[in-house]
Amino acid sequence: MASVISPPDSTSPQATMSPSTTMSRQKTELPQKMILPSSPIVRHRFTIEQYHDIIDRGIFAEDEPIELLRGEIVRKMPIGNPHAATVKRLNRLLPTRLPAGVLLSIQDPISIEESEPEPDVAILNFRDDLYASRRPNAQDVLLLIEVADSSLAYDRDVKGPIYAEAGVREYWIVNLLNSTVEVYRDPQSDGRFATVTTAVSGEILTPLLLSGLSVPVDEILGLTQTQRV
Amino acid sequence: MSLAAIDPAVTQPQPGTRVPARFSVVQFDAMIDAGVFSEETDRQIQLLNGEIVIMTPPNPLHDDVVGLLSAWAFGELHRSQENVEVRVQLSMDLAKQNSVVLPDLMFVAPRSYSARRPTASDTRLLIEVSDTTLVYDLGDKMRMYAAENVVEYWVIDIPHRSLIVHLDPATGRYRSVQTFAEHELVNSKSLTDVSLSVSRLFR
Repeated sequence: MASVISPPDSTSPQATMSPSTTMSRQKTELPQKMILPSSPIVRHRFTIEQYHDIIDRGIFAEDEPIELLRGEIVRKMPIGNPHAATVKRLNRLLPTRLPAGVLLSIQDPISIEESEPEPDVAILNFRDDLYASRRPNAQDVLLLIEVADSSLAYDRDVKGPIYAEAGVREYWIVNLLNSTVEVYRDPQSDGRFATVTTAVSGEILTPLLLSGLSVPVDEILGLTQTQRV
Repeated sequence: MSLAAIDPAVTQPQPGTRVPARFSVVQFDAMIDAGVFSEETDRQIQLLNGEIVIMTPPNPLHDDVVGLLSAWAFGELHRSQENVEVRVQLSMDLAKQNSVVLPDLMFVAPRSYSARRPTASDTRLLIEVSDTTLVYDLGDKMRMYAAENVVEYWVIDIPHRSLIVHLDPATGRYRSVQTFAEHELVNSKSLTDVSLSVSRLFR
């Protein structure tokens, strides 16, 4: 699937995720032909149960890149090579530094109300059954990380509010365009994170709920010389 | 058992917008069969360009006109020499556009539709009754039917108490669009002995 995405907005993350911007973006998300003033059409919203039912019945191909966001089944954003490489990098550097009692999840679904996104990385509370019996939810998430290049606006304005409303306590966006890591904390029910900071090269990040974990921004971005096999 | 993959969306997404996954008619039918939709809440569900949407339920005025239109249609069926059937608010497949719609009334070729829905090529005359949906029925909906080559498409324009006849579908539009006022008689082009006095629909 080819999709042309014009250069994303790389302005401050705080401005982009203000409530009024969030609300107006939600209104303009319908494709042009469906926002006629007298259009009688509303998209049907699926529940998570219906979504699981659809997947279980094989209505989509096994590897179809889809997610459920606010009741709508949407295509996942395509992943370019730098994005994929950064996920691999996180998958290599995190396991050795994580404390006991947590699980590392890579691009697996988490269930939130009417959404079932598949974040690039999630660090979850440990469960003996490794979540075999139920999907992780927002409360199980200690840290959620999305890698963004062309998907930056999407990760800030579409996924961000979903995570904030659900109470995901810490959300990082690895911003490959600016070589920064955006740190979102204090989720609010209106879809904002109250505390937003940007970490740059040279800085070290420690998640709120994982005080023993220190990750240099340079290692996440692959900017150090010391990353060997 | 996995069914046909979705045809990818052609639209160019703006940054920060969701790209809906689009379903084919086959996938939509699989979901219906799987009982994903419930009878009570999902009566007005249609598939439009691969997206599952809910139409607003009709108001009493719309329903009343559909009732009068149906009475007319079944009367014509009885009189006419044409070999057709009448279907009222039943579904129709526009598979090329990944759509399943519910036209208010259709005259279709007589055959069994128990295994598949009527398509545009089965349709001799399609009629939509429009009250609050007029702009849509004369716009996007019209283009959808034209793209599918529905040969004759009527819109009952309730606010203006008139009837609009669309003929000659080509390149996604109808080349002939004619409006008939309340006092006029409309003869179908496709069904040669079928005609409607517009005033009959407005009481």
